[in-house]
Amino acid sequence: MSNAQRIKFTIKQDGNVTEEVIGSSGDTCVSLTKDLEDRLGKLENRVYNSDYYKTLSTVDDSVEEYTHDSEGC
Amino acid sequence: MSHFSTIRTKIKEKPQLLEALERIGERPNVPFSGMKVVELVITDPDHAEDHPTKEVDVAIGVDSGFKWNQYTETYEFIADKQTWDKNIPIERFLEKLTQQYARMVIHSSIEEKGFVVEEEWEMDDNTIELTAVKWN
Repeated sequence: MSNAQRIKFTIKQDGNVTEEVIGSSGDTCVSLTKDLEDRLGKLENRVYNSDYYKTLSTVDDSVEEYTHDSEGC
Repeated sequence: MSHFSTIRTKIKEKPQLLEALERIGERPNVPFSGMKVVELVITDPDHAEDHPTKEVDVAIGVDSGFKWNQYTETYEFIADKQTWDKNIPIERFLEKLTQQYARMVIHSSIEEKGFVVEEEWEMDDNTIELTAVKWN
């Protein structure tokens, strides 16, 4: 199944950056952006949305899966 | 699924610093191979005899530039306020530069991860919005 991962960046006038990772499950989204955050500068804060522990479920999945990874998204 | 991160940008990478300087209309002086620094003379009109000299790793003109600080691991900007002749204040110059630097680092980093830029806009408030996408 085709699946898109998106990262939305807002680069403010003073050069500081906010990023939002959309469509990555488990710890994938953290590993996706960890390198970038290290290169850019200093991570000030990271906020996870409410479905923090839930992995992506496909249309065919009838059972929702949960991760127990502390780095989930 | 998402997370939301806020990052304070620090200028750490020379190639992206050079690109960013060019994007804001500067012509940085890149030391040629084998030459690690350039000499820079900062003159104070009131004390011209002093001619304090600074070495920088990237020069802009003859009286400002960037010097690598090994302790903070960032490029620090060195300039003389009294000879600053650009049409914007130093603080705004650094903001514009940092914004373009962040943009260059993001472009470089997402391409390494197999993403492509889907949208990129400069908004009315001078923020840049950039969306990168990767299809699995």
